[in-house]
Amino acid sequence: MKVHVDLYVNLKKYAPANGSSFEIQLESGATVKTVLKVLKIPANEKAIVLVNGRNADESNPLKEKDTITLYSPISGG
Amino acid sequence: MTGWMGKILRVNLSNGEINEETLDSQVARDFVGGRGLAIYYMLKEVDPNCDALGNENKLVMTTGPLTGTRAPTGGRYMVTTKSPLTDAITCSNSGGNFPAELKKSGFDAIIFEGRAAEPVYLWINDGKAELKPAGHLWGKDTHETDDAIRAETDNKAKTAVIGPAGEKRVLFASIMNDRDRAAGRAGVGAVMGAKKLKGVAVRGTQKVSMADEERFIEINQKYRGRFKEVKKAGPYPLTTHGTAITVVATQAHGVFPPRNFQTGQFKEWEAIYGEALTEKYLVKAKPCFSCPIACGRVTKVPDGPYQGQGEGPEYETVYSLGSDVGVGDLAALTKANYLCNELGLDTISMGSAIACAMELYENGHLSESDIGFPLEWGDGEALVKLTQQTGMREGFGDILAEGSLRMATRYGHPELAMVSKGLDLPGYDPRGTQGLGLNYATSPIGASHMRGDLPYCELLGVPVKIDGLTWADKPPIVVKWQNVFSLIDAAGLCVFFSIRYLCDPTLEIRPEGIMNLLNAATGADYGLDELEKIGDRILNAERLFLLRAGFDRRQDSLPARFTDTPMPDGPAKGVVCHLDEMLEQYYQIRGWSQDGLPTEEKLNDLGLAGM
Repeated sequence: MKVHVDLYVNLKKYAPANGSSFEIQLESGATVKTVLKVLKIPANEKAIVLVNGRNADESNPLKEKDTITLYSPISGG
Repeated sequence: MTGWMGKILRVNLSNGEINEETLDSQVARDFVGGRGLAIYYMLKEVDPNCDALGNENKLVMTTGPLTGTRAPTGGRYMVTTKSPLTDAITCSNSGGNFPAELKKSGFDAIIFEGRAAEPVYLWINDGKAELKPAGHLWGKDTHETDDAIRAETDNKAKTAVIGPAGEKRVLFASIMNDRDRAAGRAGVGAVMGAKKLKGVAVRGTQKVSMADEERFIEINQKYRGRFKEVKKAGPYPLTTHGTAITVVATQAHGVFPPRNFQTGQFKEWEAIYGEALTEKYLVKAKPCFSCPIACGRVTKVPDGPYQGQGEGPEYETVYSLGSDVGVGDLAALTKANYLCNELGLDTISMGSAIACAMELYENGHLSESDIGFPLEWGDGEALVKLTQQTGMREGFGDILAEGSLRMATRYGHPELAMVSKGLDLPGYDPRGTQGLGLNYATSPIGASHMRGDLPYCELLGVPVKIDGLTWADKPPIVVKWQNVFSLIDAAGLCVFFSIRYLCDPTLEIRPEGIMNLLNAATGADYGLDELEKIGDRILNAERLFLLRAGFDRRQDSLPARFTDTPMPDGPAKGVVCHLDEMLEQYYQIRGWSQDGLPTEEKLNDLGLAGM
């Protein structure tokens, strides 16, 4: 299945070539953890995870056309 | 006393008398300082039903025991008064260098009362205070005033001044300190203008003494060390891009408000958020006193019709003068921000009033002949022009200067003003941040994001990430956070550092770091429970002022757009803010009746029964 990934702030450096907003192909049954693995995001890199703009965590299962958003914790606004 | 300077300066502007008073040690212990000390004096000395712009109202500037110390972000002060915009209590917080300098000039607080016959400014030189004529400064903008006052007094002096907007009593005029830092909200600058007080200049070389200097240095290093560790792991977003980086989180959650909160996502967000600002206009990051973060932005728009330089924009401004008015032109919104700083205007209420006017115009309730020109969403030129007009109360700006609620009421549609208790909402749609919705409605000053900032956990993941769309779990969190934020505002610290590094990293945010710093500075030997109770006391004291000013549960409200109209699109699609359900539980936890009144028992417990 194809999912969309948006990486922001310090997570941008894990993007493949051609920008930090991209699509990736995953096997069915994939979770957010699969995305972190595919993008080689280390466990100690703190990331806020959203799936389709909703709160999610690593175990969140994914489906076709989901959007996964990852960004660093930001303290302030 | 240590931590506190032990002195209050009372300035009677009507007769020019200036007196020093001793800070009562029990009052200091019970209310700490900053926001706490200010509400103590306001409750005791000001009739909550007075005319906010009349002689009876007072303007209180307070520091905290940690202001002017090397505590991380120990550089804040609070301006408290009855608001002319809302008729509620208001307190507006600011950093920069003025607050620390004020403390080091020898005073914990200044209380201004009465009204001067002719414009004046207050000059405090290391404990000696005098009123000086300011007729020649009347009409000058905030930067010109800062230049002139420092030239007349001491080039090293720090100033807090008003611009033309405060002089002309624009109801959301700000007080600008260190040129570009703002005590912005709810018209504190208009109160200063009504008192004919153009500014305050301070020079201070005194040291804030410590109860246990060695311990203070040791724990200060410990908390700064926590920050350094995080910073070592990667660029710190607030330092690199300023607070406007927050757009990433609000846009992703669908709570970044476009066009007067009509929807929840702004399609041009990438043109105006923190990284765009860094790439296009950032000159350098600028810290406030004793701050390791440095989220302030010195910027320059080098050319084009919006050429200029100054500070900002911050997140709230990127929302209010950007998405809220549909402007995706970073240069135009930055220019409008510079004008707000120079004229002395709150950027949030300025943008919100223009957004409200744009919606009135869109719906045909306002016409081109009312305004003098067309007012379409996204018109950067109109944004800049109306900001200038408002600061000078010229043309249609004279109507905008009354704030969005009065303007919308005048044109028959008060429901289009995005306010709570008359104060314009900051840049987070409460349909997708339910806890913040409760916060807006119950904040004593009206819709503020700084009186228990739930977006930290609902959007930003600090100290932990929770779901912004759920509401049943929020009331106990909001009560706890409001109490701890009151304490931060009383201590003289900034929430940006305090929440992440001085509090327990759970939703409980127990303020252990603040306790340790306060104890080393003051020797007061506070306990955690006692400090949380002080936060509760401050909130309840502010509530008493509100109730006496005629407010009740009916004003703990949000516009129907959030409670009755489901979010039309984005991740929060179909959701309304469940305010009424949350309020019921909130009052119970607070120990208030369902009418929103603190019970006798609650007031007794907090030692407020006699006030």
